[in-house]
Amino acid sequence: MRLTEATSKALLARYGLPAPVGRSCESPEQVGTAAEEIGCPVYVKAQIPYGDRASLGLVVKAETPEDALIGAAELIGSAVEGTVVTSVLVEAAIQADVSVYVSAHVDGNVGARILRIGLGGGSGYVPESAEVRIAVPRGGLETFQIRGLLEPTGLTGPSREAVVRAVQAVLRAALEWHAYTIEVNPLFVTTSGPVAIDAKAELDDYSLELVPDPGLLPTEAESPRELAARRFQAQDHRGSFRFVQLVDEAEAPPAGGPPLVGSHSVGGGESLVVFDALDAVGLRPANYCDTSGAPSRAKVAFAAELIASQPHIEGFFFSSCIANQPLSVTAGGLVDGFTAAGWHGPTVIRIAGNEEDLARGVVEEWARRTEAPAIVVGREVDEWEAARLLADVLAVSSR
Amino acid sequence: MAFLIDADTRIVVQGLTGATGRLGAEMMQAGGAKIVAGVTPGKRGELVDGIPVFDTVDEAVEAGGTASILFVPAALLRDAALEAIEAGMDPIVLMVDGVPLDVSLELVAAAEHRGVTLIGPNSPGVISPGRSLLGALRAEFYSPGTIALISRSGGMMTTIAYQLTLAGLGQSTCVGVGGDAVIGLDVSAAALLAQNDPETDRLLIFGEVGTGQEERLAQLVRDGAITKPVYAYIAGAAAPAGKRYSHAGASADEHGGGAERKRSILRDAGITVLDRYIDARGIGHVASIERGTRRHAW
Repeated sequence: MRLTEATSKALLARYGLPAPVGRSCESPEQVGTAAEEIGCPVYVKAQIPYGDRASLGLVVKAETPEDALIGAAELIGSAVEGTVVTSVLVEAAIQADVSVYVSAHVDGNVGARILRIGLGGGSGYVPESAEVRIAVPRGGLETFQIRGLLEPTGLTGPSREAVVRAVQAVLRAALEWHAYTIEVNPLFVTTSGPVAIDAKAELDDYSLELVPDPGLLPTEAESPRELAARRFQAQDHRGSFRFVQLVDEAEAPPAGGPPLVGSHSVGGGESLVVFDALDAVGLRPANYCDTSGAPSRAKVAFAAELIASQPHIEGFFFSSCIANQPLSVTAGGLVDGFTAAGWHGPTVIRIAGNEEDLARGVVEEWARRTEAPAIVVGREVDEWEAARLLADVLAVSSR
Repeated sequence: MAFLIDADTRIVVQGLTGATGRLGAEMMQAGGAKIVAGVTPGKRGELVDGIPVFDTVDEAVEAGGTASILFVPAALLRDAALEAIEAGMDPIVLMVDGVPLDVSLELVAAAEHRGVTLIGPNSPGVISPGRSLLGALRAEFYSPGTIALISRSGGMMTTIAYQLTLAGLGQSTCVGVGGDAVIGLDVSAAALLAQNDPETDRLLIFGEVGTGQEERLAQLVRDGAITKPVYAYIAGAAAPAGKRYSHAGASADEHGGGAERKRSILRDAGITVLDRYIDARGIGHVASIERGTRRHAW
């Protein structure tokens, strides 16, 4: 789960690392009022969980409340790679002489959590250039150890102590919240101590039930469908279920762009193969969805309904790897989901694996009954050929 | 001889008395596995289809066990895996999906410290077709031969093995390294094992976006540590970056891990990059396939 800047800062504040005075707002008018109260200049920052928002034009510096309102009006409602900006963070623009980069990031390549500390920081900072890079022991680092680590940075006295406090906060947050990444970039060292100017965090989805305070977990980092999928999976542990919204409903499809289709696969690798196959025939997935590892019929049905009910899709593509799971159960779930969503649009179902003949029969019966323009194929047709079939059906349907 | 497992590998099934353990053992025996013991604390003395059950992995080692696979509930995984590591089982397969990040970090570090090979988490297992199987895989889709298949996806490993088998291309060993971001044996380490296996004459890789596994493989080829022909398909070129998909390791971001970059790095190292995984059917005929062992019926 990727957290927004505001939530990441709230997390770090629990460990004693403050942020500038600020407020989350959802309308330009709220931003204007907040800027007035905080005092300009302020930064207005889109709250979407992306890395370098400054370079994407998602951070505006405003010298007056009016400028802040105008900047917010441009940001709120804009979309970046399928994510619509629904809130912004308005923060006091503060100054400092010392700026630092701090991160704790799990590096799968070395199988360890890596701490990086570097002088400088800010937009465009290259983490690989950090003066300090060390694998963090399981229990974290003691304060005196962090102080020693800062030797190569040249920081001394109060500045050094301020960074020590900030690093301890980052490490504790990373360890206790099971984070892939916690990054503060930049960290300002002010006369009153360290201040996180920008922050981001990604938590491990498999550890969300282990965090110290699950109630603090935000929902704004997920789309409504992602949230619904995660909640369903939390109740029904049979098999896995992952849904990722790639194109938000509120994002208007570009005129003349590739048709949007719902994507549902069996297998994490298969799902990625399907993306490549859809792309090869000029189709764009509105979502990612994988139900695998012997999911229940109800789970597949929930997933299929979630996908098929997306108002902005023109077609539905289902494909399985050669799967061990009983695919007749999966097929039953698909039909249940289509029925619940009232889906009978252009559809290609590619079923390969255990019980595939039985499964094909279930979906073919649905297609006959509903007269949906559906094609059902098996493992004799690969993903690229199957995607081509859907593109052809869509082309016929649009005539 | 294949690599990782062979006909002589003596397997311990942790969690054998559960429904999943029994099903897994059945699949493994169909693939030629020699299962010598099961481990379920508190159930010593029981037999499951003639396989003796012990309370501890140490007892299973005394019964001759050398390699382990875990079919235990997620809540018991950490303890069971640490027990297998401590007992020196090698290799150890962790199939469980959804292992918390810090548990994975701990297990990978413990295995490295003990000097044993951990495969997974989130791995389908490993198969040396016609010889042995340590995983939940349907052996009928695989056939003996000389191609090493190394995959970051379990389902795609079977799918590709099936395509190879149809094309008359058998496999020496197929290993699913697991889709998580933190795993034990990775693609590059598995590739080194394949390089050192005299019965493997080429390597086929199913890679994905995210992690640096394919990049390390390319480095090994550039360094001359891997000299056998390598073929690779990287899935997810069209997957938007900045998202974490169901394979927790499949996440490209602004720091790298994108499919196009991986393809370019592999190609520059002299690896043949396939546009589609089904193109693997054309990577050459291997004469040593034992055609008689192939079965496709379900």
